[in-house]
Formats: sequence, C-alpha cells, structure tokens
Amino acid sequence: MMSARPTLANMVCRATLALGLLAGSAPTFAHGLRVSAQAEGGAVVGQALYSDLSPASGLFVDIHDPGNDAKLAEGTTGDDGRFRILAPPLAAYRVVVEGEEGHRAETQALRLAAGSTLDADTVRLLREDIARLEARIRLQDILGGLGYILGLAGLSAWFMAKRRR
Amino acid sequence: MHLADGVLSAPVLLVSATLAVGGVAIGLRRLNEAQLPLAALLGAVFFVASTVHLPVGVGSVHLILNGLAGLLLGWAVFPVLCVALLLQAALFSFGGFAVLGANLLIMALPGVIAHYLLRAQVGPTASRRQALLAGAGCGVIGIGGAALLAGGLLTLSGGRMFGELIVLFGLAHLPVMAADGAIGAFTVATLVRMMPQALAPLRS
Repeated sequence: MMSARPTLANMVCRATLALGLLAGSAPTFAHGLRVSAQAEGGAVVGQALYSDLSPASGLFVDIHDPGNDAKLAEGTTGDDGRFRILAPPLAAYRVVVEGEEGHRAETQALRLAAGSTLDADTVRLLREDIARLEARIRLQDILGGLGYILGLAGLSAWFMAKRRR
Repeated sequence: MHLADGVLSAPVLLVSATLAVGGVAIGLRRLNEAQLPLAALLGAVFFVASTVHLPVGVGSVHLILNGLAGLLLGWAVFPVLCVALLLQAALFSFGGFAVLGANLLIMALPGVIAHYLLRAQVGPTASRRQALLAGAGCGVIGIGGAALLAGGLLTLSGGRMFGELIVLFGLAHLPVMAADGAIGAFTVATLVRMMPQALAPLRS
C-alpha cells in the first residue's frame, strides 16, 4: 500500500515533465514585447524582442503614416525577430507589432537626415542595443517591486492592528 | 498571458475592469489579519515568478502560479494579484495600465475557482496522493482557466476565432501548466505534511 503512493506521485511528475518537454517547441508568449525600427531607403527595418531577449518571430508588423494613421504596408517578423518592409517614402513612420495572442508594441521609425555622416547600419545596431537594454528585466526593478509589496503588507497590517484596538 | 494595451476593445475593457474591481472589493473584505503575511508572500512570489524564465525546448516559459495563490487565498487573490500586476506593468512593461482590469480578471478568477474546487482536498486527513493531485490541479485550473479567459476576451474584442485562439493559447501554455502543476503539487503536499495548520483557514 505504501509503495503504491510514491509510484503514482512519480507517474504524475513524469507525465507533467513529458508534457512540458513535448510542448516546448511551441512559441513563447507570456513576455513583454519591445520593438526598434528605422527607415532605410524605401524600407522600414527593425527587430522585435521579448523581455527574456528571445527574438519575437512570426508577429504581424504594420507600418502607419504618423500623420493620418493610414496603414501603408504590412509584413511579418522573421525567425530572428527582424523585419524589412517596403513602404512609400516618408520622413517618419509609426510601427506596430502585434501577435495573435495579445502581444502588442509600437515605436517610431525615423529616417536619417540626407547627407548625414552617420552610417545607417551603425545607427540601427545602436537602436537595437538600446531596445535590448530596455527589454531586459533589471534586478533593481525586481527588488524595488518586492519592497513595494513589503511596504503595502506592512501598511495593511498597521491598519488592521489599529482597527482591532 | 499578459495582454498588452490596445488589443482589447473599449467595452470589453470596461466590463472586465468593473468585474475586477468587484473582485478586489470582495477580496479586501475577506482578507483578515492572520492571512496577511501569506497574502504578501504569495503576491511577491507571483511578482517574481514572471521574471524567472525556464528554458523549455527552443523557447522559454515563466511561472505564473495563480492557481496556487488562489487555492491558498480564496477571494483575497484579487487584491494580491492586483498589486503584483500593477508592479509588473510599472516596472517590467508587462501588460499595461489600461488592460490591468482584464489581466487581473484573467489571472485571479481561475484562482478563486481553484479555491472552491480544491479546498476540500487539502484537509488534515488528506492523503499524500490527494494533496499532490490538488496541487497539480492548481496548475491546470489556474493556467487553463486563464488561457480560456484570455482567448474569450480577445474573441469578444473582435475578429479572431475563439477555437483557433484556444488551440494557440493551450499549446503555448502547456509547459507553464506543467511547471505550475509540479510546483503546486510539491508545495501543497509539503504543507499538508509539515504544517497542516496553515491550510486550516481554507475550509472555513
């Protein structure tokens, strides 16, 4: 009798593990999403990242005119989260990245001024670096959040103690 | 599972925010002094769990643990997760402020359901098997319910097919469900064996 119980527990554990590994090939969802983009020639180029810094592949990308919000072009992100979408020439675009499961992020895509000494590739890499830093979850944010929770718990305990007296 | 700002329609946002406020009000009234430290602890666990990415296959999943928090807290899970989601939105840009009500409903309601369905299974006389199954059930009800609710809200907001979304959500969250279920089973079984008095308030 005693030996039967751990066996069942083992089976439950194994089944959940197997299920987890089986489904591991599905794309990831429950993360924050960030996007960086810029206009290069006749195209809008950029990259979408989840907050664990994994590339956001297979998401829909819409290019809007920031003036009247008309949709100019659409496309999807590649396996590495990058996209290059042809769009009519404008000085700036609004880029909206959206997944079917409720992820959405947007950004401005600006064009380097004509005659600029900056190299478009360099600027794009810089923008991607900044987006990566923005997307990363920082330790001080986690600790700060825990501090808020502790403070709120203390506040509630104080209120409850006052009410009891 | 955090829906982003701008994906839900205004009526859906309003209705879910109203329901979430109702849940928070009920939860605040039920939250008593003895429960407060556990509530704060589970709020902190939920808040931090979302930052721990477990590599599974080619991608990664993060823990949610809304079912476990719901089982242990009952209605008080609403205010607790409200605080945690607010902090996640502010500090990590998970979800957003406009969809806070919808996200809270998606996370907390399955927790309350897990509480009422499973609390009879974790009494002082519960066998190890019952406790393990109840803990694993937290993962299944918590994540499964959240996936159903998120799919439902997205469908109500327009266009997309509920069936497709549910398949998509279900597949994507199987690893989360498995991880949450395993941790829930371990936690509940340990509590039942080592400090059953901690579970006593669940049955009142």
